[in-house]
Amino acid sequence: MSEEALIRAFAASVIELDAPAAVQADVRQFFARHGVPPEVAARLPETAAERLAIYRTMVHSRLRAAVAEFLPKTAIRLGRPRLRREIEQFVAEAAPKAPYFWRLTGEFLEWAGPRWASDATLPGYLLDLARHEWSDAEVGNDPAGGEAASGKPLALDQPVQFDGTVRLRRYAWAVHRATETEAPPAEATALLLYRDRNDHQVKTLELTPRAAAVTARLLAGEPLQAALTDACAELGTPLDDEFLAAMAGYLADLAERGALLGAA
Amino acid sequence: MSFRAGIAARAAVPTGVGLGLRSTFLAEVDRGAADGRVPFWEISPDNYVARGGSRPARLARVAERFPILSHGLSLSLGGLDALNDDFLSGLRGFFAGLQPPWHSDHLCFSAHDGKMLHDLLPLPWTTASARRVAARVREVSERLERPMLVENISYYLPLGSSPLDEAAFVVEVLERADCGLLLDVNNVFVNATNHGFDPLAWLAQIPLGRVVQLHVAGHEFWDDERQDLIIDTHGAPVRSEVDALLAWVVERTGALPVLLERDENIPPLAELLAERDRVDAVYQAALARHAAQQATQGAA
Ligand SMILES: [Fe+2]
Repeated sequence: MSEEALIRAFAASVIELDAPAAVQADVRQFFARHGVPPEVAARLPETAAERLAIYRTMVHSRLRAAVAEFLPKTAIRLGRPRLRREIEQFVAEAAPKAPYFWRLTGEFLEWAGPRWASDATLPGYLLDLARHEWSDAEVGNDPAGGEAASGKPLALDQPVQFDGTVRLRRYAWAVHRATETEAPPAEATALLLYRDRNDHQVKTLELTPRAAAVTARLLAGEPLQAALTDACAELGTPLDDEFLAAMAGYLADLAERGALLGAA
Repeated sequence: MSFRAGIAARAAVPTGVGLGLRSTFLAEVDRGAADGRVPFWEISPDNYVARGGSRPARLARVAERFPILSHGLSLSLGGLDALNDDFLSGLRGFFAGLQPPWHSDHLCFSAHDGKMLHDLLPLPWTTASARRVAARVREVSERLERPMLVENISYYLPLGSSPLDEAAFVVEVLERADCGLLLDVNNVFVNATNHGFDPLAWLAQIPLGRVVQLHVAGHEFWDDERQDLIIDTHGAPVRSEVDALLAWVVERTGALPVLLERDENIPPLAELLAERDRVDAVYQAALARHAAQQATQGAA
């Protein structure tokens, strides 16, 4: 049916990588190639090619602006032309899927991750930096969070209950110290993020290796004692009083912040 | 139940000139900065569904003090993809708390082949197209358990042979879907200017009994030097020609909710409230003329 073909052709002009050149060369043929009957394509106005290009620009600029807004430091490092190409490629290969505009940067990063990781022309820290920049919106808007506490005190043989927004992020770079222009130091980094249940602000804590190792296990659902023992085994450190005191202090701090709610 | 009866069966519908509740001033509104100044807020549920944090918390508080109208961008009512089940159930759950009198979205497609393009892309103005869109509007209305309004869009590439085809297309969708019209008079003006037709001739084709809500907005040139195409950016104050179309409609329909849209270059709240007051004066004057006409007709 020609109306469906018109929609397909229109969408293709926005989506396909080679559409701008094809539309520019012969817009009626472009429509015909997408199944629009020649007599319908012939009725398109003279301005059709130019207007399709405007639509394409509008769609792509809106997506690009959103990504640049959520990932300002990443966008500076990519530069406008590269970000433009990335968005074009993203729309052609994957595109946003969710009806929620705010999620599109996360969708973009999921697609860009493997590409950037293997692209030697980009700074090695770029993907970590981008993921760190996005985590603020990701945690800030997470539908989870603010859950009622179980009311049970922590117990060694029980897993723990975190607020639903708690995330542990590990990076090979100290991305939280990157500035607009300065590269982050190459330094293994573990950050704990959560959304404050009262003021809804995203809070970031820099964790020591042992706090990170314990947190990873607790988030995976291990009982507290197993998490402590396994973390020490992993790091090759003794499970001594000093370690236990440090972890007790850490967990008490998380509880005070409302990020740790008690035993699960 | 007809769409009118469906709307009448709901809670009181606000009238007057309201504003879009934008994130840039949501916190201020939450603190009471617009109390007594705005008859309603329009929100886009696409920005709240399946989202946590400060926004939904603030909206819940604002909704305790103001009527809320719901207007989305993402249903892709004219698209060829199947309707998004998860999104529809998310919307239904969201509306259960908020209870807006209706939901509206645009006569456009915004997704294709599973790709969400986040824009309002034009549809061909054919009967087959109207029939397909109307069936989807009916289905959405049933699944959301709520009357639906459809909004006429700004288009930059007409997919029909005459500009009046668009009005005929809109009317056919309204009647086949038995839904209401969210009449965007700025979009009528933008299209009339870009494609060279008389906006009043377009409006004359629309059954005003279907008009449930209005949108007014500002627009900008695509290319400031060429000035051959205006884009519905919602990024500037409302122009006098658009005021005139608003007045033309309100004189004929009487009281309605009118939304002053502002999505780009959003000014400080105080400035937006002042612009609202200016549009409200246009609205109130038109409403007074409507009342006078009613009185004359009643006396005759
Ligand atoms: Fe509108």
